[in-house]
Amino acid sequence: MPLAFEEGIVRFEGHCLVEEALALVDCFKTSPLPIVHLDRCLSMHAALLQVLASARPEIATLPEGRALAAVVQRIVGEVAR
Amino acid sequence: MTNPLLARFIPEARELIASSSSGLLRLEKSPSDADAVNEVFRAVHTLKGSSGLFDVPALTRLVHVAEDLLGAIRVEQLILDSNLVDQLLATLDQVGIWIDQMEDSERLSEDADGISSSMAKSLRSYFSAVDQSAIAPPQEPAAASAADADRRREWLCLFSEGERLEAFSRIAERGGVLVHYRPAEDCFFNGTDPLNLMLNAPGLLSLAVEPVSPFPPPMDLDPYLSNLSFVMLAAGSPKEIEHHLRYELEHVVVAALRPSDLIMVSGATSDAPVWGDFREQAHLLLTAGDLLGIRPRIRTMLELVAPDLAAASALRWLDALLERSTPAPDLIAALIDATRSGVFVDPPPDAALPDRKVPPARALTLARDILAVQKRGLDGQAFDEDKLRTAAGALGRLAQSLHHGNMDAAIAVAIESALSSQSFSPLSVVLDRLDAALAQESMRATAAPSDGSNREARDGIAEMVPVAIASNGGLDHVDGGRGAAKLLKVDQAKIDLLMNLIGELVVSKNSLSFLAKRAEDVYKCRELGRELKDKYAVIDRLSQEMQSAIMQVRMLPVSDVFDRFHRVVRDVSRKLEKEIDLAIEGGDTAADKTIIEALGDPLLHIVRNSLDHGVELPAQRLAAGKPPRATITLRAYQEADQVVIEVGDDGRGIDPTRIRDVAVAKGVINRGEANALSDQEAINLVFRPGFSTAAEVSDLSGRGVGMDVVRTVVEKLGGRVTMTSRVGEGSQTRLMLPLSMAVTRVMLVEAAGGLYGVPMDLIVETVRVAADRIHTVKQAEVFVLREQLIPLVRMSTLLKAAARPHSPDEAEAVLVCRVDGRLVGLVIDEFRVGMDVVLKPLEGIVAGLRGFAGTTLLGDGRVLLVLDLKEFL
Amino acid sequence: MKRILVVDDSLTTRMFYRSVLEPAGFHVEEASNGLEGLEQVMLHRFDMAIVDVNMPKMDGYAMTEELRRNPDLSALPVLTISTEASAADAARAYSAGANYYLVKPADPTDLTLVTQMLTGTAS
Repeated sequence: MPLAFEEGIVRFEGHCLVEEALALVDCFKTSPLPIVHLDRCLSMHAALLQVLASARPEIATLPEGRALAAVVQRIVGEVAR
Repeated sequence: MTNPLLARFIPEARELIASSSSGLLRLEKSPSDADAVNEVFRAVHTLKGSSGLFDVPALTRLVHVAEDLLGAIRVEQLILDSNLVDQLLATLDQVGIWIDQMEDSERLSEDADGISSSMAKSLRSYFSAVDQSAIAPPQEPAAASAADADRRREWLCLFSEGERLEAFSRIAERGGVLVHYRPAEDCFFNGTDPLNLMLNAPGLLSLAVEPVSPFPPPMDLDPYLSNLSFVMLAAGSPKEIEHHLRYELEHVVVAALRPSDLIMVSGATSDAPVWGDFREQAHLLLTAGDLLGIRPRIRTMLELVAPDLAAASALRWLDALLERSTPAPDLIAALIDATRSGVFVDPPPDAALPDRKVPPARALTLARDILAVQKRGLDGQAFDEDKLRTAAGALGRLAQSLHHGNMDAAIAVAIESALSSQSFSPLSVVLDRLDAALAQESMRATAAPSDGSNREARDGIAEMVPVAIASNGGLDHVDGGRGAAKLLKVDQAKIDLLMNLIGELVVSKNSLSFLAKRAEDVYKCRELGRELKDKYAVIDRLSQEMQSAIMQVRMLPVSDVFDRFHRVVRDVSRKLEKEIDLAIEGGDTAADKTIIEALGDPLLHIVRNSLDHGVELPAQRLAAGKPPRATITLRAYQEADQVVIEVGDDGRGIDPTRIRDVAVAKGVINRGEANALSDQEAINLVFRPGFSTAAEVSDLSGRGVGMDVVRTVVEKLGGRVTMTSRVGEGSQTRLMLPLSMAVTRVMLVEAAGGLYGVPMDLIVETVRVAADRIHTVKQAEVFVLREQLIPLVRMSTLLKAAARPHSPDEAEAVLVCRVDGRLVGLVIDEFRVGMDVVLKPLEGIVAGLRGFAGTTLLGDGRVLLVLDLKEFL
Repeated sequence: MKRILVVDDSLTTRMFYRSVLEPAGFHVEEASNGLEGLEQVMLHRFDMAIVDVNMPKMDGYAMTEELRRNPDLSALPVLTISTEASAADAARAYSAGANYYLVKPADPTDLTLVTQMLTGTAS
């Protein structure tokens, strides 16, 4: 299960696929928003990125991949931080 | 053309187009011909591959679709029918047009994208009958060329200065790409993941993602509708990116990016005096070429100033620019200036890439005047080595300045031969040649500027001539010759240079016999004289053989023109709903390249006449008791020193009675004359000017030219044309042409108010003789040239015409010629240029005239009489 | 950069040549009479000399003749300039060894073109 939902935290692990987008949307319908950890994320589907862009949660850790990290930071992080 | 790669691609592309077209025609006749399928597929595939080296996506895309279709035909998923052949041929024609455009301007016309899309669409419609899954999906990026500068700038602004600086340091001098990608809303449903597609792009440097419209909160979000657009900076070529995004090309704009496109200077402007000092020093260092010296000054300034100033931004770019191995000086200057203005103006990129320049008319006029001055300094002057060097130097520099640098070899040869013969005349010859070339350029520069520029561009490109090198003696013929002879592609200009040099060798070897005579007469060394004469004979023979060998190199098979007619006959007969076969015989008969190339138009006209008027409709043929399919025959064979080309058809033939009526109606002759003509004479009327010019303006042959034009062209080549016909049985047109162009080099001279040619190999030198150097001995005029008494003959006397009025203190122009071993000075009015001409024997009213070797047509249509000095004197 | 020696006794004329040739990418040096000019071409390498025919001490014809006597300088392009549009002057200049002849005041475009062509500079 690439996306792990814990108490107040969402962890992306490995390759995160399109199928999990709806679950991710659901977890951002709560308040306060869970904090997102991306440090173990190797890739994510564009749909997941859209959910992050829409919810703008706090991103605790960025992916190791520089390009992906920059993309996330640009569309989500700049606003959240 | 500045791009050597493109110069090589263009002839290759034309060859590939030609071989695919002919393969297609073969394939249409016998659809199961696997070799033909493979040949066409390979040719189109190669064409696609090489076209990708150039920035012509419209062409590459269209060829790609054609390749896909041919691939389907090859694996028998698709059946080739006549309509599809039409489509593919039209595609190849369009590609041919684009190749012409690339040759002219190194790019495609504005409408290329549109044409490419619509042609690709109609080609792709053939796939609909086929299992879609087996074929590569349609590929069509949204008009890539529409990526105008503004939009590109907007996209580039998405990247921070840091990102752009980093990209700048990483993309090669040839540039990178800027990619804009806005996937379709529903793309997630067909398995596309745009984010990973972009992140995995080859050469990725920076990726910016933007929402197309602001994202709603998660409550209202449909995560499965894509709302993203991407802009990417990548190293590498547009081609690599296009390949990576091949399934999404319709949503992608790929633009080539020069490193300098990334430079944007932004921030607050401020101009403290310290900046002025920096600029002054930086400009000085730049002028001195000391680029390393600028960098420490940049560092110092950057430490001094606030980083958010535009000037600081300009400095950071300048620093990055200087890190490159070969920064462009104009870019450096622009960035130095940007520290004041806060604005960076990218200097026009083309400044560094000069096109083949056509010198402006004024330059040509001056250049020709300068040449005339150098020539005057030589003519009539005693030989002097220093003078030779002065003039040769001036000539060489002038040629270089006007982009005729290829004359260097000829000049070097001329200097050598001038030194050995102690005469200026070899240099004069080269000088005349440059002058003639410039004269042509200035004619082109003044006449028809629009058309002229095109032609200029085309002439600038070296034509390639395939030269056959027999690799293995006679054995080559065993396997039919196909692929057996090794072909070496040689720039046509090189062969022409070789031919000219050989021509000059033929002329300059003449000085040897002069030397032999001097050895005997002046230095009393009879043995040396004899040895020189022996050597002269050897060199004479060798140079003759060289001349005929170089003529052989220029020989091409007539199939070069014949093969074009398969297509013409096929297309036209389909259009006219006639059934016509084309038979070709003797395609490997060879003739000089000039003749082969000039044959195209006249043959086209004759064949179109047959197609249009000669051959009847199938029903008419049946009614006349003939088979419904007609045959047009193109036949070539050699007869003595001529090549004969016959165009025949088995159509309705020419009715002499109708010809008489038409000729009378058009006022070519009157009724009485018409009735007096034999049938054959009546048929010959078609060659009269005015007979067919305005006739039959149809879509096909109505191009406003008639058989009289055919005759003119053929006669210009030194040939003849005849026509025979039998009513109901067909007609036959015979062209008889010389095998090789017997090119004679003549010097044009003015005499007695007219222009004459004198064969160059008889001319020893041209001198100007002051009136007081001319002596009269027993009523004959003579003058002394280097201790030799030379009799003078006045051209005007020989021509029995008045010489041009001439003031007594003006020097006489004298052509010193060697005729039958004797030197003779021919007094003329003025020397003109030397030129290569094709001699045509005297015919008609001048046929009996003695003293003339033949005639030739000058470029302006005048007839030039070439003197036969032996008979003349 | 191609080096041009301008030999003319008038300062204004020398400045005129400078103003035309420098923007066209040539380096310009000056001499005010034939003797000085001769000295310059013997001492330094030039790609071309532009020589006024009428000068004190040594005129342009004499300077050109002198210069052509030196085998090292026989190929140096020489452009002579005179106020007289006379065929005799031109003939004299050519027989002295000049490569070309322009009449004062020389048209800037012509001067640039001729300088380019005599020095082998692409236009």
